[in-house]
Amino acid sequence: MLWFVPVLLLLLIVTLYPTLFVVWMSFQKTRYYDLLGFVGLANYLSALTSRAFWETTYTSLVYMAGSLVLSLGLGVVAALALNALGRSGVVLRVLTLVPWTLSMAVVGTIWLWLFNPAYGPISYTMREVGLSPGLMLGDPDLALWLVILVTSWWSFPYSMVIVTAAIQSIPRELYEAVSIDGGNWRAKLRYVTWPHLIPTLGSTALTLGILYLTLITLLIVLTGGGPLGATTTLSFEVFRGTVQAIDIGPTAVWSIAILLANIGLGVLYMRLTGRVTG
Amino acid sequence: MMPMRAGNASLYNRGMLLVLAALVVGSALGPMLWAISTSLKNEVNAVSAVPSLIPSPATLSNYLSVFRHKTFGIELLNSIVYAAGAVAIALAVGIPAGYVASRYAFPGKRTIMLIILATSMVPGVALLVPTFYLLDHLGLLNNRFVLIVILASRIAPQTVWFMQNFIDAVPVEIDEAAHIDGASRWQTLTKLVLPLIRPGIAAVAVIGAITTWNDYITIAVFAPETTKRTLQVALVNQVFDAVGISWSFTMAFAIVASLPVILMFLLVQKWFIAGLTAGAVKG
Amino acid sequence: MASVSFKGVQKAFGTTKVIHDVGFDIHDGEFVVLVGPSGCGKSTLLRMLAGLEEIDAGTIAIDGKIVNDTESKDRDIAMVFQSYALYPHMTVRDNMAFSLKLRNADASFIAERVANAAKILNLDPYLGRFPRELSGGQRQRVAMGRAIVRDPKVFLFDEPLSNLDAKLRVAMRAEIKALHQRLKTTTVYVTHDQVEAMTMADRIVVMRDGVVEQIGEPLELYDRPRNLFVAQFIGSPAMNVVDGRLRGAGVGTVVETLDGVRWPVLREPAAAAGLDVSYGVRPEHLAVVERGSADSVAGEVIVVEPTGAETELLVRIGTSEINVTSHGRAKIGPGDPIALRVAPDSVHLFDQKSGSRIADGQGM
Ligand SMILES: Nc1ncnc2c1ncn2[C@@H]1O[C@H](COP(=O)(O)OP(=O)(O)O)[C@@H](O)[C@H]1O
Ligand SMILES: [Mg+2]
Repeated sequence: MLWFVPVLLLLLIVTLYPTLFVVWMSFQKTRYYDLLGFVGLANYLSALTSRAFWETTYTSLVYMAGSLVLSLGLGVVAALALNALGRSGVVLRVLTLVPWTLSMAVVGTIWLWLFNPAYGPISYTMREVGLSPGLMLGDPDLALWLVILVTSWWSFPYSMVIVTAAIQSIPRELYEAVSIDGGNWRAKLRYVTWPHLIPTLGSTALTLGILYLTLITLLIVLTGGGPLGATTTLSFEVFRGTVQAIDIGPTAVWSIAILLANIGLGVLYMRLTGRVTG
Repeated sequence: MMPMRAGNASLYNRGMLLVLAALVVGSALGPMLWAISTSLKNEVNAVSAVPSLIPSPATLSNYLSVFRHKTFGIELLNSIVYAAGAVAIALAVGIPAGYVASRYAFPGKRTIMLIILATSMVPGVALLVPTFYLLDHLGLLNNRFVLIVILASRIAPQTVWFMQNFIDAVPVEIDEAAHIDGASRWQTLTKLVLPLIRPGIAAVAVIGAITTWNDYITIAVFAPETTKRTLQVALVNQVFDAVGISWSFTMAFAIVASLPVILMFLLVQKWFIAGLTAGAVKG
Repeated sequence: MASVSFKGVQKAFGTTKVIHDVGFDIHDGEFVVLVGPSGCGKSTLLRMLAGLEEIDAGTIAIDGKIVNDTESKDRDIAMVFQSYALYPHMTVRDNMAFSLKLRNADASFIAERVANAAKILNLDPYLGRFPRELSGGQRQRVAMGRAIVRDPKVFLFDEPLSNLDAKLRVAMRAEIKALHQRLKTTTVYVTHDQVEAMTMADRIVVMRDGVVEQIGEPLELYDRPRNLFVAQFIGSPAMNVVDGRLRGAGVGTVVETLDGVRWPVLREPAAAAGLDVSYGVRPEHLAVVERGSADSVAGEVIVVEPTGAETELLVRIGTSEINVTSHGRAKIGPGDPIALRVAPDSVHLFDQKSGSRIADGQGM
């Protein structure tokens, strides 16, 4: 159909062509941004046998898993609490969603300030209660966890909204049936709410997983991948590779790794939600 | 609503619930309140040894400095132009496609929808290297129009789907009645269907505008030139300048850079939430 | 005003054939109702006439001109949809004016046409309202107004009354009929409701599974259904049908069922004794009589439903359950023995195998 042509042109030129191009690049010998000829799988071999790649992959996985657990956990708690409030919960939910609309640049900047070891309120509070705040984001053992905390602060409102929608789609009669059978709120949670939430949590985890996998800006602002590479994820490394441009071939390989992971999670999402367009 | 039984247990539960809700909302808003508080302090108070939430004295001087900053104007303009341009392009290509996707069956449609779906699964980060290479070789780095087109391509797939869904909700008999009344396909779309899905279009536009407004990577990588950068890029650059940073100024800047987004969000929050949850809840 | 003609029309959706070789003619100014059970292809046929569906094979002609490849807008037809399909963001006036505006008619002409249609349909007070501010019946009238302003050659209606409540439906039925009598525009009207068909149509086209079963004036279909399907579809409550075998000869012919009941035919059928037939008699053609009366069958009352003017009885005759509409108020109750007399000239016989009507012998 003619009316599809504009959008297809846009996507073919801006998305699909570069996607194919990065695959081609990954088979090239490179120096800086120069393509010096076909080298077969050399870039793949060097990437996949490098320690850095696997360490970075590990960091990415820890980052994703940690953020998922925290974001979904907070999201469920927030959804249950605000939903139980009834009408006043609606307004509070909108307010709680504001962080999700902020840019990662803004989120990073705010938290960089909150975590400031000298003047930030968090380190101040820690000192007041007798803890040593240390370097906070500058501490290699702590940095990744703090980044996870920030990521969750930014994204738990999303989980909350989705979980709320799922809770609200549960038929009232089920709760009433549990009441009649003599169950308390704990039984309702266990036997009605929870089973209904599982599929939603699965699809939300995939959506957020993709987001965390490909997230860069927050890391740029908070840690720049440091300290000592403690927060360098695959995506961050691709960003650094792109702007430093020392040797672009391996960066192409890393890009493809992210691309494949993203597609994998995306397909899983389609499977889970049963959403097929057409 | 909770059942209102006048027992101690339910009062206790209600109390716990309120505490929990306060914690949730507080943890979401707390960091933002701190940022606002800092933005209202003078530079000295912002870095006092004993931080306090209430700025005293409170001052708007940081905001004045933001507005008076010599590059603020062009950064604001760039942010607006990029977001508006990307949304305009996404709607221009997404509305006709969404209409046809909703209304017509034809061979190859499934393939087309799959292509759109596939492109939506390509993350921007995987395109950094090839796109930079291509733009560099074509001499198209630092080109505003190119930036807008790239940003538009990121929101184009979701625009098509949203449009398809909204138009699905318009009874097809409206189109048929129009067809019999003598309306062309284009007239049917512009005079009948689009006016009926206006709130949906507004929501898609706002969601797209928020996404592009908040972008940092695309602009930072493909338009390193100072005159092409946006508020987001400028903000991050302040943070990079760790030594010279004034936290009260930076917080004011971050808030100014976020205000349009928060306002747009509050304006269409109902649709925004509906957009987030569309298809996410397995019925 | 125009005639409409279907010739060998066929239509399939994918591999499912939904219209099989349909052909019939509609005369100038006629009100024709397409009726049949849900899913039989009525709407599809109407939509092909409207130009909303492709015609796979055969031809459709309006006023003698084949319109297979003519765009809807050039067929000079107007259609009223079941959902009305009013344009929600336009006032009643703009809804009615839309088609004329698209044709670039001049403003005074449009105003005159709209005013005229509004007057006919009593819509004057509502011209400035939006569809959401109207009642169901008013919306229905706006949909008709939108069709009238066009002054088309043919009006098409697809189940226009099924979204109205029962009382309004009866009122609108009369209104549409009156409108037709006034405008005399050729009308094709689709419904699944046989009462609507009987009360409104000049001629009825009965369809089943994409095939035309019978075409005729309402009473013709009622009195002489061509087959078992039409017999049971037309009329309410539906015709009683029992299966049995023809026995005897001449006016003494009976249909004997397996359980031994002998149903009187009361005339000579054009079929030989021994044939397996379906015996049909409408509930209103059965009368409650003394047991043992001539031309009667005996049974037992199961249910009595007084409706006021009439009483509906469900009676067991042998192993069959038979509906009876009895005038007046019968003083009988469930379990009572009863006999039913079959009215003369009221028996329908159908070949059991083919379902088609068995004609009467000479003398009828
Ligand atoms: N667009 C379509 N695609 C596939 N099948 C259809 C379509 N429209 C109608 N049908 C099928 O064609 C048959 C006739 O439909 P229709 O003409 O709407 O019946 P009626 O109006 O008599 O109830 C039905 O079995 C219906 O399911
Ligand atoms: Mg129909």
